[in-house]
Amino acid sequence: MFLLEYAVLAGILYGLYFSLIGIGLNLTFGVLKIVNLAHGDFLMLGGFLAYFLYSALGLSPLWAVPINLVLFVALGGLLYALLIPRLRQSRDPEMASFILFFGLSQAIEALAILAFGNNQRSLPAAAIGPGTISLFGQVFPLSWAAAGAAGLLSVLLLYLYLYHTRLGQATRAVMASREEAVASGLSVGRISALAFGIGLALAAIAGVFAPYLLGGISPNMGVAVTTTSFTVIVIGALGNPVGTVVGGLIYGLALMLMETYASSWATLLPYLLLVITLLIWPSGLLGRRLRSA
Amino acid sequence: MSSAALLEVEGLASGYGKLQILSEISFLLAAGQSTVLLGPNGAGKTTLLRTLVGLLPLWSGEIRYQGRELGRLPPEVRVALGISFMSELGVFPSLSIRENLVLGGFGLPAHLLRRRVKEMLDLFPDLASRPGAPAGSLSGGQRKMLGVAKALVRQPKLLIMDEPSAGLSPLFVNKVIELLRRFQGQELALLIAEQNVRFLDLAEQVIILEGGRIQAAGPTGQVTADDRVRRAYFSLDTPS
Repeated sequence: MFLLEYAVLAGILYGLYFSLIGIGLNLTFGVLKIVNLAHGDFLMLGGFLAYFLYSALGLSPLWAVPINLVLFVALGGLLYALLIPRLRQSRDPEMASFILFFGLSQAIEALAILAFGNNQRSLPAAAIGPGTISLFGQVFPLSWAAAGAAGLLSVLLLYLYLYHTRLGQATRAVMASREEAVASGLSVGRISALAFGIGLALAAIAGVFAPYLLGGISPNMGVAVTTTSFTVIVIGALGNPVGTVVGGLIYGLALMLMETYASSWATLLPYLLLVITLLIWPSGLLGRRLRSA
Repeated sequence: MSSAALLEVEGLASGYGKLQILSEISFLLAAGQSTVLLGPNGAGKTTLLRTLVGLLPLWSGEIRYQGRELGRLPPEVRVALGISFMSELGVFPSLSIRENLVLGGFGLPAHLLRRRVKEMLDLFPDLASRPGAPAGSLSGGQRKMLGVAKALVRQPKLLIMDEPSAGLSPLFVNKVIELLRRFQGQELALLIAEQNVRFLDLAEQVIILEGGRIQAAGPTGQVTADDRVRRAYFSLDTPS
């Protein structure tokens, strides 16, 4: 019973963190209808920034959160302007996006190896803050709670942005129908560039906590993280940010239960959940059904 | 070209990719005038509307709105200038009725937008009764109503509509026509692409499009009196 309680609480903390990992990818997919296969690599870059703030400047890795936010929104805007308009002119933008972002992922990984070496890096638990935290009688590292809180806060802020600001409503309009948004006079290019930047920034913010929850940061971690992110958003519903929270929590709980009771099977989990979800709920658990007439 | 015209189209050519659909399209729309663009499937009606609002590139020719060359201006600038477009979809299905209306006036000052959204909800009681409902949960007819309301939030000078009767029962077609009639005479020009000849009740001008070219154009009475047009679109003989 003790183990189960621990696994469930840890699963919720991990689940909130996985929501943070997946939500940027989901936002990008929802707005641009492309899968950013380099998503995990931007998480890795965000993690390295946190690592260097601590190791080179002696600053708390948490300083990387606001820095990543500003830096990666700007980087996203730049990358959008460089890549996406050309991508949209291709005959099959979705397929072209797979190839393009796969190439970008490989390029980022190669450059990261050149810049940081191939070794895995980690941060001491005390870098986030000393001690542990007690939740319902169970004790967890403070870094896990900080990651869960960052996930929850990011999802809430994104929800407020999407549902309670005009720019957010416009973003959801682009998600609903890009062409209708253009016809309605929305500045679809600017809205998309901002969404792409926010998506990258959320991945980079998740990277700050990767040394604690993913076991470290290394240049070749991108593909695995992208697979996990993809699983999380497919479980919830592609293009539905609220679904990402559901997907993240299911993934986190399943991972912790597997780690607790069948740890040797845990690495199979992302692929297993992906296949099960696609077979049983192809539109995801929160796939929306609309009246057609 | 007349400088009094709201919209002047001269020698327009356009198409998709490398496929030319339209050629030598020229016509005028006066302020407040209602024009119906009639033609069979594949005539190029939607292509023409999409070119006018900037969703498709203009290959050659000129489009002038209030004397200003629209040329390669992006759609959002055309909307800001007072051209609203209601596509066949017309709404954002996953967004609420109120959100659709707010997005119809995106960029307007907040106080003005609030007032306009309220005016539209007052005008459409069916929509006002549940403004938080997703547009996708509405019936086809109600969605058209919302599409019209959304397109009118900005109080455009020109409303361009693509087949507003598509998928509607005759009852709702009548409702849409009655609705549009209310806005006629309020300095709103209408350009409606349709196959349903019922919309000619609204029209002061008719343009018949076939094979990407204008086959006939002029005042409604004059065009509909033409033998060929009557046979092709009304299955009627020449009036005796």
